[in-house]
Formats: sequence, structure tokens, C-alpha cells
Amino acid sequence: MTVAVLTGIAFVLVLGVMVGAARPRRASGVSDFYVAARAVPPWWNGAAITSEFTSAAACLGTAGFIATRGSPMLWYPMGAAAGFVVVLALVAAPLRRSGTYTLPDFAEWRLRSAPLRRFTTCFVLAIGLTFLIAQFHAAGVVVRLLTGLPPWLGWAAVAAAALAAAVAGGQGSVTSVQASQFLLKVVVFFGVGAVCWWMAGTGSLDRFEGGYRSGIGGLAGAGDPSLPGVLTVLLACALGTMGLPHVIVRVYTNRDGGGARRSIVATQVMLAVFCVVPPLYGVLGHAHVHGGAADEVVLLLPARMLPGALGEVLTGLLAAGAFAAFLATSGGVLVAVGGAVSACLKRAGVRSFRVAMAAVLLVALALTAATGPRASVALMLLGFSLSAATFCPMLVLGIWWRRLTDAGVAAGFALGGGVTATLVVSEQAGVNMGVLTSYPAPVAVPVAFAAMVVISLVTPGRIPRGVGPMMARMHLPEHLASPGTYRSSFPDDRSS
Amino acid sequence: MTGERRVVVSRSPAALGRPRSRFDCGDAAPDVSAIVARQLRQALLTVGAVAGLLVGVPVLALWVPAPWAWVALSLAVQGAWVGLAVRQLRRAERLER
Repeated sequence: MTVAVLTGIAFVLVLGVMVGAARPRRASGVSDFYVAARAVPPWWNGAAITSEFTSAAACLGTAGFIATRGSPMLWYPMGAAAGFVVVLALVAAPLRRSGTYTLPDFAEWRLRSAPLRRFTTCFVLAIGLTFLIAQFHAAGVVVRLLTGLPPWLGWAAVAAAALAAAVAGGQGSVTSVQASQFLLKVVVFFGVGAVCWWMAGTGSLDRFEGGYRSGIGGLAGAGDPSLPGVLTVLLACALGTMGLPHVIVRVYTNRDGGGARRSIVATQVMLAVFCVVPPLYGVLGHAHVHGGAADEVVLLLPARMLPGALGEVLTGLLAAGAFAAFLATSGGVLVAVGGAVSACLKRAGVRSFRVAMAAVLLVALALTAATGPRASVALMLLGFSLSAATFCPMLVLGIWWRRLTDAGVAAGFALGGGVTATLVVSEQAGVNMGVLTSYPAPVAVPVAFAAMVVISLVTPGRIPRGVGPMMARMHLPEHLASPGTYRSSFPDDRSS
Repeated sequence: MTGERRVVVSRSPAALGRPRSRFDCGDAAPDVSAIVARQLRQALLTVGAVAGLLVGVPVLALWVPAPWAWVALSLAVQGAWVGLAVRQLRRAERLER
């Protein structure tokens, strides 16, 4: 088993670094470096977005939750995919047309406030770190469970490969790494799943039961099998997707707003295909794997069903697919967060971008070592909840409402992020604050929206000058906009 | 041409040969608020449909406890998302033409 697993993992890591480094370097400046020179076709970009999005939680965690906590978890993939319809409807094209690269860039441009950029960068960092820690812990679980080696080897392998691929060529190389990882993941997870399903027959479905029941959720309501718990998670996923730094930065790798919309539709199609995986493994795991943690069920399945050489080979393939998922997500997060952090430094350049990525990675590794292994779904859901309560209101109001002010956004971030953090921390510390603690998203999201609207209305003097041209630039299609309104990019903004 | 008065061009003229859309009537600048209102109405229709399905399907499942029905519903909703996304793309592009 160990040989097959290590071969699979090594293959994926080497492939990832090679695909990333082999791409011809066309980057001529920082902007090209991290937005792939905007030459990525929509379907290829869609594959990269899907690959980034189908991380440890989608490949291992959700299926494990379905197996261990039952049928209510079937709705989680549905909520995750719904996020992209919301992104398409409310955010994709205007955000691309705004010409800003990262979420803090958007905050600074739309509200004309440099302090706001630094404030929002802290939240990008927090969300990015939850995602990185989730990937590292999952990689540690794979290594420990399947080979018996210490988990830190798994963290280090993913971190080193992600950094190597990202340093080699920024977003451009990460795009090709991710799109190729997505194809690998689809082939592996569908292939192994089909073999297992064929061996098991349809009997597995009969042992599964539908229905909600009361239960205790983990971080941010993850894994709570009651109806309110499920709806909390669905709300966080549907609204949180738009604020994930690594997903939204991909919008800028398209040439124009129309291209951005098309890549989100491509993502939606590929995600719909991939979302067959969690129920498939969940139902099989429920019937055949007993006594594994959520993230372990998928990995244990082939060996439990097919003892012998075939089971070992299939386990090795699954480990390779899982590492492809970790590498894709951590690479994307690293580039997006590194870009946002380095833009806050005095001299933004390729060098500071690389230093920022390395620093983020070290912090993530330190936090991974400091925390115990957690279910990947719970950690990622914390990121989703935080994003839904902070970036979602800023993007929606910033794009569609003229009267938003920087004071309103700052208040909304502080309250939304603060409420989420307080509820999650008090739930973890065992402080009982009634039903609220189990369901942070339905409390924090309306609070953040209300704070942004109310504070913006009482500070009308802070509405940024030139909000009319900004709205024109975001909403006029490229062929209607006058040359002054629409610029495909504005390189000067990076130097500020 | 010689008999006409010369006019100072204060705003760069629309490029020749581009299709005139209904927002661009004559020399007036396109009406941004009208475009924003139209797009927002369309976007909210789509988001409303998403919210309806997102709450409706898990609640509806209370009355269909069969396990295969839950699996089938969760997969069918993925198809619905793709349909909604394609419809939103078409509508938004038509509003921009």
C-alpha cells in the first residue's frame, strides 16, 4: 500500500511543478505575473476555477460527512455550487470591468481609501489561511493514514510544491497546473468510484436513510444534521463563494466582462459533473467503511471493498487525486493572498510578491502545527462564513449601490467578521449563547449588510468622488464604454 | 461639408462602424442608471430563484424520506444551477446588446 500511495503522491507533485515551470514565461510585469496576461480561454479558466474550488473538502471531506453524519450532508455540494450562480448574477462581469485585481484592490478603488485596503487585506489573509490549513491537515491525514509516516511530511510536500509552482510563473502557471489537476481529479475519482460501485452493486443505497435529526455541529455549524444547521451552511456557501480570494482573482484572467461570465458558466458545468463524487463515495462509505474520521472514509474505501493488489492500486490513485486537490487549492490561495499582501507593501514587485507568498506559507504551516487535525469541511466552512459576512456585502453593495462609503464598509467588516469570530470562538470554548452559537452565518450576514447600509447612509459626505464614472465603468459593456471609461487594466495602480 | 458649421468636439466620438445600441441614442452618453437597474432586476430574479431552490429543496425533502430520492434531488439541483447560469448569461448578454 505504502509504495502505491507514495508513487501516486510523488507523481502528482512532480507533475504539478513541471507543468507550472514548463510554461513559457510571458510575464512582462507584475500585473501579467499574477493574472496570466489575461489570455486564458473561458473553458480553461473554468477548469482552473473548478479545480481550485474542489479542494480537500469537496474530494474527501463532504463524502466523509455524508458517510458518517448521514443524508442531510447531501445538500452541502448543492450549496457550494449555488455560490457560482450568485457570483455570475451579481459580481462576475462588473468586477472584471472594474479592472481591479484583488478584493482589497477593489475596496480601495471603489471607495477611494487606502486604509480600507489594508483593513480588508487582513480578512483576505484570514480566509486564505483557513483554506491553507485545511489543505495541510488533510494532506497530513492522507500521509499518516496510508503510509504511517508523520503528518508534517504531507504538509511540507504540499507547501513546497505549491510554492515552487507559484514562484515559477505566478497565476499563469497556476492556471495550467490547476486545469490539468482538474482533469486528473475527474479521471481518478470517477474511475475508482465506478470500480467500487460496480463491485458493491446497488445494495449500498438501501443501507442509507434520508431524514434530518438533531446533532451537534463543529466549527461554523459544519456537520450539524438538523434542518437549520444545513440551511446555515447553505447560506454561508452560497454567499461566501464570491468573497473567496482565490476564486475571485480568476475573474481577472479573462479579457473582458463577457469572458468572465462565460468562465463562471463553464465552472458551473464542470462543478455539476464533479458533484457526483461526494454522494457516490458517501453512500458507498456509509455502507462499507465503519469507524473512520470524516476525511479518512474516502481513502479507506477501496482497500475495505477490494482487499489485495487492486485495492492498493486504487488507494494509490485516490491519494494522487487527493494531493492534486490539495495542490490546486493551496497554489491558488497562495497566489491570491500573496498578491493581496504584497500590494500593501511599499514596493510592490515580483520580489515582494514571492516574499509575501513564502511568508504566508510559513504562517500557515506554523498554525497547522499549532492546531490539532480538524475536519477539512469545518475549516473551509469557517472561511466561507467569514467571507459571506464581510466581502459579500462589500461586493454586492459596492457594485450595485452608489451611496456606499468607506466608513460603512469598515463598520460592516468589523461587525460581520467580529460576530462570526465571536460566535465560533465561544462555541469552541464551550460558552453557550443559545441557538445563535450553532448558526453564525444567518446572524452575521444580515448584521454586516445592515451595518454597511446604515453607516453609509449616516456618512453621506464620505461617498467617494467620481462614483458616476465608476458605475459606468463597471456596468457598461466594453463596446459601449468610451475609451476613458474602460481600460483593460491600469498598471499605475500597483505602484500606490 | 463645406457649408456646415464646425463644431468643437468635447467628447471623443463613438468609433465608426460600431453597432448603435438602444442605450446609445444619438450623441447622448449611455444611461448608466437605466442599465444598472435593468441588470440588477435580472440578477435579483436569478438570485431569488437560487434562494428558493436552496431553501425549498431541503425542506421539500422532509416529505420524501426515501434515500434514493435525496440523492436524486441533490444531483438534479446541480442541473438546475447549470440551467439558471446559462439563462442568466443569455439574459445579461441580451441586455447589453
